[in-house]
Order: sequence, then structure tokens, then C-alpha cells
Amino acid sequence: MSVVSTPSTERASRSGSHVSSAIQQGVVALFGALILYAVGFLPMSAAHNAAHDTRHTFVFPCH
Amino acid sequence: MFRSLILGACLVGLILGLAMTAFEALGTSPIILAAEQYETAEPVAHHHDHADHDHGESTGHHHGDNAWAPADGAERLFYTTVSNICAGIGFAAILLVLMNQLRERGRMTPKVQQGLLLGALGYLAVFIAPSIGLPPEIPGASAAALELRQTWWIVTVMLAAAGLGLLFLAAGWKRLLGVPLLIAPQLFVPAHDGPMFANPDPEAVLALTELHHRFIWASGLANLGFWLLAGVLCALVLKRLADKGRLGHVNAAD
Repeated sequence: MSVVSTPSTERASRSGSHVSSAIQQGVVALFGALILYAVGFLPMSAAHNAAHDTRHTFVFPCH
Repeated sequence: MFRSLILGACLVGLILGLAMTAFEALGTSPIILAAEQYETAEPVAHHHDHADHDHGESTGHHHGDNAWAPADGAERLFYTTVSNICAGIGFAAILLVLMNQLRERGRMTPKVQQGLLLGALGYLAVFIAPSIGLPPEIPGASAAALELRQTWWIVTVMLAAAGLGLLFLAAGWKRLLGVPLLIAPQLFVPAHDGPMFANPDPEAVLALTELHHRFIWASGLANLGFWLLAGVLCALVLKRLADKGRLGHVNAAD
């Protein structure tokens, strides 16, 4: 019994860490996208003015 | 892993942001400042898209009557540098995750050469693809509604990234599916009708046209430098994290 169950538990934990790894990487990518939104797209005047030259150089639509 | 990737992105972003600030000082910033000299005569009609309280009465460059803006000089340079670093961190975070996904699937070994390739692809997707439809713009240029262009920009960049991914990673005929993804957004560019610049003075238009051409080259080179550096730095960080076992053992197990 235990001989059979060990590999399946191992597989489960491996696929579990696979999922957790994918979620962690997804959150990192989301973190990057949120920062880019703040720098390049936030419509507030103050945000636009602070990041103005950056927006122009990176060709984020501006004005 | 999460912590390692975030810290890696911050490190790479810091270097990228400082490098971009240097590229800007050499190339784009003087052009932006020169173009702003012609901007005071700008009619205010198209300012509507910036702030709810802006009813188009401002004539200066910075939008909104009471909106805060950094003073020219050191303060403006400081905010631009911070913005560049943030943009660098954002792009680095996404690039690191993409590279790690490729690495986990055995489609990439994090080395300088492959980093350069990924950086070049990032340049094509994030700079070249949107610039074909909406060329780099200097202050004072007229354009279609901002929200429309922002939406188009995001869609174009994502489709271009997916298209390039298919071209490089798919097998056989499926590669060709990448081509329509690259072309389609260019058929729906939110183009602007009418004069190119808001300033109607012919002399100003002549000067702005010349500045605009210079800006296309300057921003093109600055972004090329940014993306090649981003690709190399992300590959090096990923290699180091993988060597230290900070990225989990997914690829070893599979």
C-alpha cells in the first residue's frame, strides 16, 4: 500500500509546487504590469507631469 | 522564488532606469524641451482628455490649471529618473517571468546571447510595433483621443508579443499564425486627421517637423539600448538565481 501511495503523493506535491510556482510568477508579472500602468497610463495630471519625459521616450501615448 | 524574482526585477530596473536617463540626456530630452518652446501657442481644445477638472483654459504645457508638475531642471530630472526606474522594474519583472517560463520548458538557457535575442524581441513588440501605427511623438503634436491610443497601444503590444512568440516558438505551419497578430492592429490605427502640430505658425511647424524626425531616431536608439540591456541583465539575473537554486526544481523534476 505504502509503496503505491508514495509516488502518487510525491507527484501531487510536485504538481502542487508547480502550481504555486506558476502563481508566484503570475503575481510577479502582474506587479510589473501595475507599475507600467502607473508610469505610462495613469490619467491623473500629477502622474502624467511627473512621468512626462519617460512617457514620451518610451512612446507611451501622451497628451 | 517570488522574493528572488521581485528583487531581481528591482535590481535590473534600477540599472535600466539610470541607463535610460543617460540615453535621454544624450538624445530625447533636449528634443522634448525644444519642442515645448513651440507649445505655448497651442490651442487648448484637445486638452480635454487629461483631467476631469481641466476645462481647457490652460495654455501652458502642463495640463490642468492647478495640477502639480515638477519644476524644470533638477526636480524634473529627478522625477524622470524615478519614472524611468519604475518603468525599468515593470518591464524587467515581465521579461524575467517570460524568460523563466521559457527556461522551465527548456526553450531557453539564460545566457547573454539569448538575453540579447529576447531583448531584441521585446524592442520589436514594445517599441517598433506600436511605433509603426503611432510614431514617437514630441510635445505639441496633434493626435487622436488619448484613451483610444492607449487602448490601441496595449492591444498592439500584447498581440505583437504573442505574434513574435508564435513565430519563434511554435512548430511547423502554426508559426504563420503569428503574422496576422502582428499585422492586424496596424489596420485599426487611431489616426489623427488634420494638421500634424497644434501650433499653426508655418515656421514653428517646420521646426517641429525637424524635431519630430530627430525624436524618432533618438527614441528608437534609446529604446534599442534599453531593451538589449534589459535582455542581457534579465538573462544574467535568471542564470544566477537558477544556479543558486532560487527558482524551484520544476525543470529538474520534469
